[in-house]
Amino acid sequence: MSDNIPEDVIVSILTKLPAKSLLRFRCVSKAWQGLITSSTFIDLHLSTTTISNNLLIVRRGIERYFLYPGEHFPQNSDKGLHCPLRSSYNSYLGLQVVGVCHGVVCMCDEGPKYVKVALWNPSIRRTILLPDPNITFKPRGKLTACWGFGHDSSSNDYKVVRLVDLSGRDIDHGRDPLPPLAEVYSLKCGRWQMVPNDVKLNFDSDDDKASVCLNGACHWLARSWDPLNKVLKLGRILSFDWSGEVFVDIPVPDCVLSSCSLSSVGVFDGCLTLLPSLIDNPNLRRFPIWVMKEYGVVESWTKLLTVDVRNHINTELGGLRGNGEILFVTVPELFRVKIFSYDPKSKEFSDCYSCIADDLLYGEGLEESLVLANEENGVWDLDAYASNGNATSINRSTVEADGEGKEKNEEGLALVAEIAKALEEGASIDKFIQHGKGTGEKTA
Amino acid sequence: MSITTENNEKMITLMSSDGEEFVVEEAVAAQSQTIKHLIEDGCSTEGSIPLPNVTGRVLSEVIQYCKKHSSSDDKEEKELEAWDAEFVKAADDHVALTDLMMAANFLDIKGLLDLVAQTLANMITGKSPEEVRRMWNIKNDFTPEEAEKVRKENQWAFE
Repeated sequence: MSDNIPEDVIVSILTKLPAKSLLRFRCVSKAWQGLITSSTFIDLHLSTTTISNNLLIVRRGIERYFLYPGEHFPQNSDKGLHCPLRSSYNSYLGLQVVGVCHGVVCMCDEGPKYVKVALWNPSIRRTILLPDPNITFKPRGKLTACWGFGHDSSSNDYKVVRLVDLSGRDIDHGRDPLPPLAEVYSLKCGRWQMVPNDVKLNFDSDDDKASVCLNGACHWLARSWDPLNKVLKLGRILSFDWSGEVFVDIPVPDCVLSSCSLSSVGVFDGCLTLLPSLIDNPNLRRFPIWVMKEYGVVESWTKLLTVDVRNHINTELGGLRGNGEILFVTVPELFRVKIFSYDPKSKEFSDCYSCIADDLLYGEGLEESLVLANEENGVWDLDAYASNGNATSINRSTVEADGEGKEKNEEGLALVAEIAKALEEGASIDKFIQHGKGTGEKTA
Repeated sequence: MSITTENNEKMITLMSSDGEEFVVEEAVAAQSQTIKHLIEDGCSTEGSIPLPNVTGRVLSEVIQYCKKHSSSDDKEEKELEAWDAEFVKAADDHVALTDLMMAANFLDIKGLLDLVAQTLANMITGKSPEEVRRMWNIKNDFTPEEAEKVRKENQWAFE
């Protein structure tokens, strides 16, 4: 520090600075460099940050990202910058934004022979490519993978959860579907671990993938098995508690389900929200937005508002913004994507964004933070990395599993290998499913 | 020493590092957690409270801030904000602000600390590392190679 200024005074000033200034001030002295990238300072800066609600837009096809600070969408974006992952030609589940938490975006891309996952903090331009998940085999038949990303406040850790659903295969073979296999990556431990899941909810299409975090848990819109008609029926919420690492089934009342087809879960006004599918309700022009007023209380589902989409055809609901606006996305022509926003107060639509891209991805509620600045396996600034003659894809760091939990993970890996082999031989996977501590169905 | 005014307000005396004495209402001085604890420990009953880290010039500014903030109600928030803005503006430069910040830190006055920290932060946001070093006499202990390496990692932050 300075000769005469105490460290806590310096800290009080630095916590109020934006990330960009802090990265620059790492050059002031060794003490400042150590302070700014210490985990204590990173946490303190996060807790005092006032810059939030940034909107991230990734243009797919060219893989450049645009960051819109605060309420300024569609104006005032940074110039387009490199995105840490690019969608591969043979990607079959597609590049996706898994989630946004404390300024970090989790992105993934899955293809027949690979799974790529990256944690990425756009405000400091630092990226970490995660090691391969345990389940990397390609089963015959349909596979759906669902992802979630969030913060475990009890251990101050960032986690990624991956659910691999093989129900399509089970149904094709005339079997009742089994719960998805689950694995969790912990940033602190630096490895994937299998976690038990005995909640009998499944996923069917790629549209089921979107997840949302609220109340220390991650949520997906899921399907339950209808044994009579032998189909997976949409209309349950699967949640995963980040600290306890347990899955819970949250039922959705019939009044919600009968009002329209649903597309995904979201957060609106601090409440868990169900978003309608516009494409699946072609004859409907007014769409209800349902919120669970009191978290976990099934009776508290309330119709918050109704959106009249009028003549906006071929439109899908994009996302909910922290400022209360709702984004809609439409593809008016090939390689052109248009976004418009709806203000529930004035009931007005406004065109706000149009660009050339295959598709768009967004992350909403992005804060400015230094999270990942102290992670050793990270890479700074992909644009500079690329201009120095490196390929824009970074090397995956190999992380050795060690210490506590190694045994459990080896068990998990052995299980995965066994399942892969058995599936190749056409066996059912039910005998491999661990019946762990999952709490099963939640009653209100 | 402890005096009581006509309004039945208890008064205490604070003494700066350069020997200047300030008689203030206890409620005003107690906005400083440090002074509050000294009063609770009975330090105010035997003469003045010595504040060896704070000069008279800075202490008078601190008292000005505490007086304003103890007399204002929450309803005057807008007016108080305007007053705060004028107050830090009057402190003029980073040296005076740093002195004020160190006093607020020692005396543990959260509102003042936040106010001055934000003012200093706004002042340095766009500055270069060299300018920041000069402001606070910070020694650059990087070798040119080390400095270049750190700089290169975040070249974009210098543009």
